[in-house]
This record gives sequence, C-alpha cells and structure tokens, in this order.
Amino acid sequence: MLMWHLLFRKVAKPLKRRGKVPLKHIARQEPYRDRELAAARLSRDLEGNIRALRAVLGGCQDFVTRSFRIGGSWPAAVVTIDGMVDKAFLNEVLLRNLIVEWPGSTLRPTLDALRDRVPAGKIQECRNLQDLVTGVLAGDAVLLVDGENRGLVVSAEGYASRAISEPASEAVVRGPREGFTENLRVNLSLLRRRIHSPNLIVEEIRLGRISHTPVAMVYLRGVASRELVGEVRRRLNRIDIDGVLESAYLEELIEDNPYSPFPQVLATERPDKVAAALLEGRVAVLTNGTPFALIAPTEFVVMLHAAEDYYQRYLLGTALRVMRYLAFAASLLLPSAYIAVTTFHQEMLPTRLLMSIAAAREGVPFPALVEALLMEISFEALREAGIRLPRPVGQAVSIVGALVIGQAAVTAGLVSPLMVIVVAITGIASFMAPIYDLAVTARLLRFPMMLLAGSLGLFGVMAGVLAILIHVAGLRSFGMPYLAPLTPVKPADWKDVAVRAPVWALRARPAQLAPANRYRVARGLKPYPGRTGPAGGGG
Amino acid sequence: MWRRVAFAALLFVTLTLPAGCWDQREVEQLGIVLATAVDKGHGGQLEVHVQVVIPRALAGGGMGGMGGGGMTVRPYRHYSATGATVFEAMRQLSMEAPRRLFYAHNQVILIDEEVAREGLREVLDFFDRSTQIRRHIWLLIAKHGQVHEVLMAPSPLELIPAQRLVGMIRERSLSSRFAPQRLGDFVEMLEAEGQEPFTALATLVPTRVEKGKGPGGGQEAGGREGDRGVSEFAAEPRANIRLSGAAVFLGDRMVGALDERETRGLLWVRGEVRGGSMTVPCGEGKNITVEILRSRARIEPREEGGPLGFVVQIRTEGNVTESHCRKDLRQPEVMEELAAYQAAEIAKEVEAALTRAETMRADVFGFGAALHRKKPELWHQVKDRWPEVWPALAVDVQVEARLRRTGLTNIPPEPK
Amino acid sequence: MGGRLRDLERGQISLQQLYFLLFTFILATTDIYMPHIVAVKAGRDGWLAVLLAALEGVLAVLVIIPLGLRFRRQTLIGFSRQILGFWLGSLVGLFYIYNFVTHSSRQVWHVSELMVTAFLPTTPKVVFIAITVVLAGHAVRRGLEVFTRVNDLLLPVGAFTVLLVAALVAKDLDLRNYLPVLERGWKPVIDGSLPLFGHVAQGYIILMFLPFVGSVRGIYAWSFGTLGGLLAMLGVGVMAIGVFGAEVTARFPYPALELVRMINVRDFIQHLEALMMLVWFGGIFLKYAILLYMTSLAIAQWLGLRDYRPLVWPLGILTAALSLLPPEVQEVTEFFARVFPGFALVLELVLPAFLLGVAVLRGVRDDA
Repeated sequence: MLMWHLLFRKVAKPLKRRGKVPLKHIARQEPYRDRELAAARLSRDLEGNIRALRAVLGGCQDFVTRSFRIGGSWPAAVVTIDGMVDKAFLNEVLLRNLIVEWPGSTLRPTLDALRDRVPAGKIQECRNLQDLVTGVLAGDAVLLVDGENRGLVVSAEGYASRAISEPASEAVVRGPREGFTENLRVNLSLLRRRIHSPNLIVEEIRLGRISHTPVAMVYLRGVASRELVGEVRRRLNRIDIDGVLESAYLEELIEDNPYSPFPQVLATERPDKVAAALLEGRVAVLTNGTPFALIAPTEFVVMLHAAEDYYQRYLLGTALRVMRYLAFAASLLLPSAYIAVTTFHQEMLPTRLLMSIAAAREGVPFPALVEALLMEISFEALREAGIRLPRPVGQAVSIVGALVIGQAAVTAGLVSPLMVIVVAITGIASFMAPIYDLAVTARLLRFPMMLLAGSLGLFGVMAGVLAILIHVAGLRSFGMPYLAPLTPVKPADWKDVAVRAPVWALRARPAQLAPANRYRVARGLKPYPGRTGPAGGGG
Repeated sequence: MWRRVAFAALLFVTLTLPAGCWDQREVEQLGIVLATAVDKGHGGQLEVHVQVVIPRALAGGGMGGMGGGGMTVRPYRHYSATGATVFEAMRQLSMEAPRRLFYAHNQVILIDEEVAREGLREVLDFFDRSTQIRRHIWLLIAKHGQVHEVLMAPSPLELIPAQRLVGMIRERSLSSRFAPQRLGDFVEMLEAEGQEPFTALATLVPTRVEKGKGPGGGQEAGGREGDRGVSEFAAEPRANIRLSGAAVFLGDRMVGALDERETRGLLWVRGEVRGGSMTVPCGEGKNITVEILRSRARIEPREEGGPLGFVVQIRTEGNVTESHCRKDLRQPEVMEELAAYQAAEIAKEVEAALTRAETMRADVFGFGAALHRKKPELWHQVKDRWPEVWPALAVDVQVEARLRRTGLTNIPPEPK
Repeated sequence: MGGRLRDLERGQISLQQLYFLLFTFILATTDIYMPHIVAVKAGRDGWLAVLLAALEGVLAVLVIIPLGLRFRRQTLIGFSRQILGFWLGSLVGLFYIYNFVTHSSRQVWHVSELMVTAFLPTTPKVVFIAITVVLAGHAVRRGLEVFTRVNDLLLPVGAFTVLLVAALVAKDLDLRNYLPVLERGWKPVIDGSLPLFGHVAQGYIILMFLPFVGSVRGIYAWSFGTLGGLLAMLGVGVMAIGVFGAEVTARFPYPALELVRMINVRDFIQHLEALMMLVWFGGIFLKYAILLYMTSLAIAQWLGLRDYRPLVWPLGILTAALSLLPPEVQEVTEFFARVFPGFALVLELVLPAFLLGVAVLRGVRDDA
C-alpha cells in the first residue's frame, strides 16, 4: 500500500504541474513535418528566429533559450535542450568565451569569426529550422546571432549514458570485455579503436520519421563488396517508420525472408565480433539507443561461432564448435527423438535401458508426448520468469522451480526422471548457442517437432527436419545463401565451419564476401621456429 | 502468404492431431518379452511360453516408496498358450497378458527337443518373418520336457533367466564346449547346401542343495557353514541351467546330439574355438593344462587323384596355464613336444565329433559346402545323396598347435 | 527457345551439385530393391553383376554426355524437337514425360510401402503420401537451387550411413559365401546386371539439368567418379549375399534392411532399422522431388508455358493418386526384375543413342 502510494504520488506530481502549463503556449495542434521545417529558412532577425523556434519547440518544457550579447554588445542566443548538453561546456567554455572573453571589437561578429572563436570539436552551419531543430534535439547547442540568417550547431552533447561494460549476453573468458553501449558515438569509437584505418567507412543516416534515430552503416572500403554495401544502403534507405527504438526494428525491415524463424542478420553487442565481421567483408549497422549491432550478411554457421573460438587455441576452438553444433541439434531434436524412440521405436533402445525407462514411466499418468510438452513448457516458463524477475529473486525462482518442483514432480510420479534429464539436457544445450536469436529459433521449432514425433515417430521427426532443411536451403542473407559454405559447397571455406583452423591457415576471406580482396593472411606464416625470422632458434 | 501459412498450419494439425491412433505405444504399456519358448502342447499343438519382464520390480526399492531391498517380487512373469501355429499361440497369449507383448527385445528362443525332432521349419518361419524378432538372438534346444524349468530356474546373479542364458552364451568361449547359434545363422545353415544346422542344448543340472530347500523353501533351515551366506538372501534354486553340447539337425529335424567333447571337435573343424582349456597328457602319466587363445580351420576337398576326401587343417595357439610335469618349459623343444601332444588331443576330439556325426549322417561341419565352393561340378553330382555319401569319405585332420607363453613361472615349484 | 528456358528456371547449380543429385537419384532406390533382385538372378555372383553393370554404365556415360554437351543450353525436351523436328520430337518428349510421371508415382509408392511394411504398420498410407508430396512439392516450387542444396546436405549423411552399415556388418561377412564363382556361367550374371544397369543408367536425367549447370569442366571425371561411387554403394548392397548367403538373401525382400538389423555393437547400438528407414525416406523423398521437378519442367517446356510452378501441385496429386494403384510389393519387384530392364534400356540408352546419332548425322548442335 505504502509503496503504491509513494509511486503514485511521484508520478502524479509532475503530471499535475504539466497540467498547469497553459495550452496556448503551444502555437498549433497539428504536428510539424520535416518538409515544412526544412522549407523554413532562418531570417536575419534573431528575435524572429527565436520566435519561430519557440513556436516549434514550445511544447517542450526542457527547451532552453539563453539570450545574451556577444562581448556585451551584439545580441545572440544559445538554444539547447536541458539535460542533453554538457552544462560545464556550455557555461564554462561556450558562454564564457562569447560573453566574458570576447575581445572588445566594434565590428559585428560574423559567423566565420564566431566559428574561429568557439572552442568546440564539431561545428556545423545550419540554414533552416529543420537542421536547427534536429541539432538541438540531438543534444547540440545552437548559436544564433542577430543579423545572420545562419546558425551554428555546436556539438555539446553531454547526456548521461551507461558506461562501457562487459556484454551481458556474450561473455568470454579470454578476450576483450568491452561491450557496446546505447550511445552510437561510443560504439563507433569502440570500432575505431580496433580498426585504425581510413578505409573504415561510417555512413550515417537518420531513421524514423519521428524518432530521427542516428543509424550508422559501417564497412571496410576495399574489403566489403560494393554490391553488398549498396544493397545494405538501399535496404536501409527504403525504411520509413515512425521510430527505431532497437536494432530489431531494422532487422525485421531489412532481412530477406520476413517469415522465417531463423535469424538472417546477426545481432551482437561485442565490438570485437563486429570488427572481425568487418574484416571479413561484412557490413555492420549500428543503431543509437541499443548496444546491439547488426551484421549482414550472416550465414547459418556463423551464428554458431563464438568470438572466443578465435581467442582460444584452435584445437579447443574446434572442439567447442563441434560441441556447439551438436548442442544446437540436441536443443532442436532431443525431446522429439526421445518421444519418437520411446513411443514408437522401443526396439532401438538397449534392453536394459528400455527396462529402466519402462520402470520409470510406470505410474506416470501422461503419455510421453504430453509429459514432454508439460516439462518443456514449464521449463520455458521458468526461464522466462528467471529473466524478468529482479536478479536476486530470479535466482530463487530458478532454484525453487528447478530443484523443488522438478524433484517433487518426480517423487509424486507425475513425471519420469528420464524426462527431467532430457529436458535439462535440452535446456543446457540451448544455452550453448552463442547467439541468443538462434537459441530462440531452436526453442520455437522444438515444439512442432515434438508434436510430429508424437504422432509419426522418427518419420515425423525426419519430415520435420526435411521441412526445416527445405526452408533453410531457400534462405538468403543479403543475397548470400544461408547455408554457405556447406551448400553451395565451398570447400575452401570449410576451414572455418566446424573446424576452426589456426590463424595462419585461415588465409582467405569467405569467398562470397570479399571477391576483390581474397587474402587476409600472408602466405607462409605457419611458424617454423629456428628456420625463419631474424631471431631464429638457439640451435 | 498468410493464406499459405494458414494452410500449412491446418495440414500440420490434421496430421499430428490423431497422435496415438496408429503405431504409437507407450513404453509402460508394453510387455517386454525377453525369452520365448516353444514346447509340445496337447494333441499335436504347440505350446508357447513367453517370459515378460516386470520393469518395476527390476528397478528395485529405489523408486517411489516400493518395498525395500531384496527381491520381494520376481521380476518376470510367464505366460503360456497353445495353438496350431506359433503365431496363433502368441495371439492366444494376448488374452492372458495385460499388456501388448513386445518381442523386439526377445533374446533367446528355446525349443523343446521333441518339437525340434519333428522339424523346425514351420516353427522358425514365424520368427524369421517377424519384424520384431531380431536375427541375432540365440536359438537353443532344451532337453525334452525341460523347457519350462529352464526358463523358470531362478538365478541370484542375473535376475532374469533369459539374461542369464545370454550371459552364459556370451562367455561361451571360456569353455568352447557348447555351440549356440544365432537365429539368423541357424536359418542360413538350414538353407545352405552341404551344411547341416546345429545349436546348443540347454539342460538342467541339479545343484548341491539339501532336500526341502528348493525354491521358496524355508530360509531358516540351516545348512552347511558355507551355504548360510547364500540362503540368507534367497532360496537356493534346485537346479542350475547348463548349456552343453550341440543338437544336430538333418534338414530341419533334430537327429541327435554331440556331447561336450564332440562339440568342441565340431567347433575345431569350423574354426570357432576361441578359448577354453584343454588338459593334455605330457608323458610321465601327468598332465598340463593349455588355455586356448584362438584357432583357425580350413576344409579342403582332397587334392587330385584317389577317392574323394577332405583335408581339415586346424591351427591353434594357446598358453600353458597349469603344468604337473617336471619339464622345463623354457626349452623350445619341450614346448614343441607339448604342442604336439595338444595337437594329437585336438585330433582326437575332432575324430570323436566326426564319428558321432557320421552315425547321424548330418554334415554339421560343412564338408558339402566346402566341396560346393571348390568343385561345383562334383558337388552337383553328389549333392542329392550327400547324407549317404559323406560319412564314408575319408577326412584327414591336420592340426598345428602352438604354445605361446607359460604364465609367470617356467618350472613348477619343486619340493626339496 | 533458349531464352524461354531461362525464364522457366533462373537458378544455377554447379556440376558437383548436379552429380550429387544424380547420385541420390540412383542410389535412393537401388540399395533397397536391387540386392534382392541381384541375389535372385545372379545368386552368389551378384558382385560380378554389379561390376558388369558398372561397365555397362560406362557405355551410357559415353552416349549421354556427348549428347548433353552437344545441347548445352537445352533440355531433353527441347533438343529432341531440335533433332527430330517438332512433331517427332514432341512425341519423344511426351514419352519421357510419361515416364517421369510413372516414375515419380512409383517413388511415392516406395515411401508409403516401406513405411507401412517395416516401420509404422498401422498408420494409413495416405499420411506418408501426403507428407512426401507436400514436402517435395514445396521444395520443388522453391526452385532448383533449393532442393539441390537440401540434397547437398543429405547425400553425404546418407552415403556415410550406408558405409557405416557396411563397416558395422563387415565382421559378419563371410567371403566363402561368394564361392564358387560363376557356377552357372555368365548368363545369370548378365541377367542380374540388367536391372542394375537400368538404375545406373538413370544418369540420363542430367539431360534435363545441364542447361542450368554453370561450368561443365570435368564432366567426364564427375561421371566416372559417380559411377565408381555407385559401384561402392552397390557393393554394400551385395554384401548381403556375403553375410547371409545367396539363398537367404534371395528370400529377403529388403536385404539391406536385414543387414541393418544385423548390427549389434556391444548390445547397446542395435536395431537401427528406424534410422536406415529415415535415410531411405530422405533418399526417396529427394528422388521424388527431382522427378517432380523434371516432370513439371518438362511439361511446362513441352507446352511452352512461362512458369512450371503451377504444375507442381496438380502433378503431386496425380502422382500420389497413381501411387495408390500398384497394389503389392510382389508386383513391383516383378516389374523391377522383368519389365524395367528392357524399358530402361530403351529410355536410358537406346533413345538417347538414337538422338545422338541423328544429331550427328544431321549436324544439329546447340553448344555455341
């Protein structure tokens, strides 16, 4: 009760205050359109410009206009959004410079003179309301001077953002711990820090009719094929949506097959993974407001590769990959295989195993299919609950759910212990997928597979697998066959599928990605201590 | 597109909805049959016994509060029914068995000697045709009237008699004195030209138990000191099952049996002796014991000239495991001498088998098949009369025995 | 005509994919039915029949490949018109289309029959038929490239399984079962090799696919390599004779299935029939998809349509309906043993050879 009361009051207060604002301050009811704003040119009259701006931004209580005189004599104004700009910079640097430290001059300061004096890293001119408004809303400070029909957009953004931290969904033991944040600038810097190359191209567009979210398309010039870059650009440019709040919006708008349960674009919050993809000739799309970058094109096998595969010794990397492939198959097929074998093909089981399964199932009131569905659904519910609940509670839920309920269900004879084991293995296997989206795919497809297994046994499973294969074989990711290099067969690329060959052997980039720039590793780099290099062995 | 999705969903539902209507069967609804036996029933009918596992009893006390340790319930149950054919009898069983009998895990087929003597073709046809019965399960012949006992004889080590039989067969090369056949191999031999089938015989051997202590007998009836440990846990069974020798068939009819020594003679000729021990006289009226490691054999029709005959070449290797002789086994000549003794002993076993088989006219050795392979024309002349022809043919048994190792000592301890 | 063909199918496959398709196409049914027929006809000389069939296969290669290369941009339907003129060529095309239709319905029959016989005996056949037709139709409608890729993935799995079976039953192989050699002379061997040849020479189907193949470099190497691979796979089928003996093998309708039933690794891995069934189902499914595709494409081309896709579902339903006609296993086995060899000879060797001959004589070619 008390909590609710507090909450309610906290929310209610500002609402009340806002209610006091007379509506007449807002000049008009209908929304401003970009085209209209772009057509509105700035005038030489400062007051007029501020009025116009206030008419547009007047509905925003956090919109601040600070009028002052440059050097104490020439009227000017700085327009900002409160909370978006770096106050220290605004007050201590910008305003101090213009008001206090302005050299007394009788000449009216021209825009160029101002530009020379303003100590900011990035300054742009704007000539119409659209540029001005966009700049202000993105956290820049706009400097308007009386007598100029142009304004200066001074980069001063200084809003609070989350610090760079380890990516929650893709942790590694060995490897960089930095993850993307919600800030596009920071994210781009994370990439720049990894690839110091003038050929790392960042093309920025703003997507979202209303949200104007900055979206950056990043690629390596000379590595990524031009067609691919053009295709990504084209698909991004055709997006017309009100807002982009997460890269998933873009993903659903640019993928090749919108009906597929398979992710066709890889989403990652690891900058090193994005950098590696760029070096392979892929294109990354970073969205402001989310730590998840998109990588396109992405084949199926890449979804099962973890960044760490490349940071560990290649034998271990290979072993882990093989395990991961098996785990993916298990997370998709294990429950259905179990159902099929125990309810249709008991002859396949070793005699003793059959007897212990039969003993365990003795007294279980459900058919195996229902038992499996029940267990799987409760497992999924448990997992979902664990994610949503506050962290400390979440753990308690998993413990209660997994241990207590599982144990109780078995002792009560509702579920056979073997089914619990199968469900648990399936769960663990699905956690092995390095990309969350792919794990989700397997989890989803598991249920129809179980139904098929329950009705037609292994034949049903095979039919399901065939259906999935047909679907996947027809998929493309930005024109690239989804199953490459498995099929169409590209044996040259098999060094990086289930096997992770040592770095010196991974000479070529994937064939379809970088046709013009095939080789990334020089020839003959396989280490021969003592035979090559000036520091050759002691012998 | 959405229409297509809807169509696919509809199709999916209609195909998966009738789940359980067709071939689906839950594990716990199955009566898992581990052994099948065919006995003579009344009035020329066949009586079929099946041994069905009770999985719950087998899983023991661990599960949900069922009776504590010890075997309170026998983990298997028998059902019997009679019918004119095997299949009919089996369907009769379903009127008694509460579960659908499931034969895919059947491990042994036991056939009564009398049934075998009347011919197995009809009996085996069902097993051969069935999709559930596996071809590599064992086919055994039980002494007449003992089928039921052999199936029932409890055993403390393997809880289920069928598995006990299988366990004995698995370790058959420890003695090489019985010759079990898999169902598939038996049928192949039945069908092959110039090769008569055989398989092992199962018999009951009384155990050394005092009267009144049969199965279910009083546990408190104290026996000898050594027995007490056993009888505290379970009643000592009255009889043990023993697999011994080989039932010999002519065509599909059983015509007799080889004893244990002769059976090994048969296995020598077929090159199937993979182990076992042999006691070989080493002069001085004493013996050494040889552990057989492996053997190979070849049957060749006799080379040119002279009447038709066969050469059987047997090669074997073994280790000396026990020596009562004073001979110094370090000396190669001694080892060769001993090996020669062993070879002679093997030849005797083979001769015994040959003699016995010849009286039954059953070519269990596959001489005919060998002749067929090497001299097809000759074979076609004699194949119709083969049971009459082959017993008269001369067989030259050539044995080459080698002794490899002598264990960890060279000379037996010498009391001084 | 060339332009119109590319409208029908825009996809492109590689030579390797083509030969993988062919391999599946031939192997799918061969290892299921052939060992029985070979064992019946050639007895313990079955392995000789296999070798002989491979030799005859070389002959087929030498006819089909030159014909295909001569008409690089045309399918069988198209170039038979080019060679023989419109009416006669159309007749030949119709003959092939008829054959494709019956052939595809036979695949549907295979699937349903196998499943019912040895897998799920009480499930209605219609279920299997429906699933197969729907899946295959869907795959075919998505285009050549799609089912080719599915095949790319499944064929290695299938071939590996067959070899695995061979390795696992190798211990039961008794080479003495192959003796004596040529007991009844060469006649049974030749008799046994003919149905096999009928399968091996199904390579003529590449005449329907060659226009969609990118580069044909190494086509002879691929042809003979495939022949060699088939030889190995057929060898596995004939292993049944070595394991069970010729007499017993001849009694089994599906000797390969019996081989699988023999597998027993330490009493733990056993009774893998179900898995083998899956491999077979996958194989026949793909064969059916290939046939369905060829049929639709051939009809579309024959009638001069612009798209083959609308034909897929009607043909699927037609073949499914036809598959319900031949009622018994025995009849199909009979068909394979008696009718099929002669029929196949005409279809797969004589007619292509005739076409090649006429083309050479008339100097018709389309390989510019």
